[in-house]
Amino acid sequence: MAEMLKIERAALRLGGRLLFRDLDMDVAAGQWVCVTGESGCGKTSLLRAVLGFLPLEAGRVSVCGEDLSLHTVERIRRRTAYVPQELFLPADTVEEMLRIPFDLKANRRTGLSLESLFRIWEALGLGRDLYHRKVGQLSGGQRQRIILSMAALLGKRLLLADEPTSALDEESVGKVAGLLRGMAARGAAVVSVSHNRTLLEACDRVVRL
Amino acid sequence: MGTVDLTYGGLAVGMLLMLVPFYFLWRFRTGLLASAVLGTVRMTVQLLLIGVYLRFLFQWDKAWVNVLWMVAMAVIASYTAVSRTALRRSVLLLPVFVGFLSTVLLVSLYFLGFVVRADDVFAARFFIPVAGVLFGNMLTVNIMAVNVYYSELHREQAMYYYLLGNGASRFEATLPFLRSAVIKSFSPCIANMAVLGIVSFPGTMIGQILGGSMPEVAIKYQLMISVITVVASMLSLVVTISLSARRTFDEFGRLQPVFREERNGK
Repeated sequence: MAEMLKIERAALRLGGRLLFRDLDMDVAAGQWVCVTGESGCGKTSLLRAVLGFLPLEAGRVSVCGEDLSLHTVERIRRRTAYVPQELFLPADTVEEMLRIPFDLKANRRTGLSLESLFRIWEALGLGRDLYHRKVGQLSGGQRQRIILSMAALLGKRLLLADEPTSALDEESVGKVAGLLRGMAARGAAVVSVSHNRTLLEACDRVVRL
Repeated sequence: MGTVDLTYGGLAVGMLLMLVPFYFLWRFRTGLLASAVLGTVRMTVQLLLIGVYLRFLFQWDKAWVNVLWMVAMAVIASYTAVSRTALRRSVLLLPVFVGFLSTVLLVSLYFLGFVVRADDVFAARFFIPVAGVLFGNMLTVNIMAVNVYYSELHREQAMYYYLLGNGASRFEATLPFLRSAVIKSFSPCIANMAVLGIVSFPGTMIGQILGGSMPEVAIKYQLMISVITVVASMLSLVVTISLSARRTFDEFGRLQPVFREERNGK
C-alpha cells in the first residue's frame, strides 16, 4: 500500500515546552491510525504540524510522498481533509454549512452529492430533515457528525480528525468508527486523535504519545 | 448668493449651546463631562489652527507643499487609526499609511482631474479639502474594518485553519473574515447613502449652500463627495488588509501575533 503520511524523528515544542521528540509514524493508504495519550501531550499539535500549522523543532513530515515545505504545503493541504475538535462555521443553515468546503477552488470538482451525503448521514444516525435546519438548532453531537460527513464526502487521500467523537454517545461513536473504517477501506489514510476506547479498538494501529 | 461670515462673537454665542450636553453629561453622572469639555476645547483649537495654516497653504498654493501636507495628514491619520485598535504598530502602521496615501492620491486626482476638470489638480483650494474629507471617512471605516477583521480572525482561528486544512488558499481562508469586516464597516456608509437628502442633509452640501453656492451645484458636489468617500474607504481597506497580511501570516499561512499583548508561541 502507498505511504500517505510519514513522520520521521519529529520533535515539537509549544510555548517553550517540549511535547514530543523522536516520533516516527507511518500511515499507508487504507490504514486507520489512532493517536492517543494524556491531555497536553501534543496529539492535536501533531495533526496541526502535519498540516504545517505548527513548525516542527526537528524531524520531517511527508504527505503522499512529498516533504512538507514552503513549496509543497498548499499542494499537500489540497490532498487532506481536516476536522478540528471544535468548529463553528459561518452559516445560517446546515445546507449553507455543507457547501463551505465544496466552494473552495481545490474541492469544486468533487461537488456535493446529496445522495452520498444522506447515505453517510443514515450510517451516522442523522436524519435528512437536518439538511434544512438552522445551524444554531443543532446539538454538539449532530454538528460534529455533520462536519465529519463533509470530510468524508471530500474524498481526500488523507483524513486528519481531531477528537471526532468528543461530543457523542457510545452508540454514535460506534457509527463514526464504522464511517472511518469505511473511508480506510476505500483507500484513504485516516489519522484520528482520540481517547475513546471504541475507536482505539476499531482502528488498525494505536500510536501513543 | 454671497457668503455670510460668522463673527467671533457669533461663534462664542454658538458655542454656548455646548452647555446643554455638558449639563446633561454632568446631571446623569456619566463621567464623560471632562472628556467632553476637553474634546470641545481640542476641536476649537485644532480648527482655529487649521484655519491659520490653510490660509498659508492657500496663499502659497504650491503643489509640493500641498502634497507634503497630504503626506503629513496620512501619517497622523495612520497613527490615529492604529492607536484606536489593539493591534501592534509594527504590523499595521505601514499598511495603513500606504493604504491611506495611495487611495487619497488616486481618488482625489481622478475626481479633480476627470470630474471637476480642475486646471491644477494640486491647487490648494481643490486638493486639500478633497483629501481632508477622504481621510476623515477612511479613518472611521478602516478602524472598524481592521478591528473586526483581526479580532474575528483571532477568535475564529479554528475556522481559518479548518479551511486551510481542507485545501483553501490563504485568500479563501481569510475571505469570511474580510467579508465580515466589509459588511460591518460599510453597512453604516450604505445606510447613510440611502437616507441622504431625506433624513440627513450632509455637511458638504450645507457648507456649500451656506457658503453661497446654488443648491443644484451643492447637490452635485455632495453626490460626488459621497461617491468618492465610499470608493476611497473601500480601496484603503483592501490595500491595508492586503499589505498587513504580509506581516500577519508567515509563509505557511500561520497566524502571527498581531495584538499588543500577544507573544510568539502563544
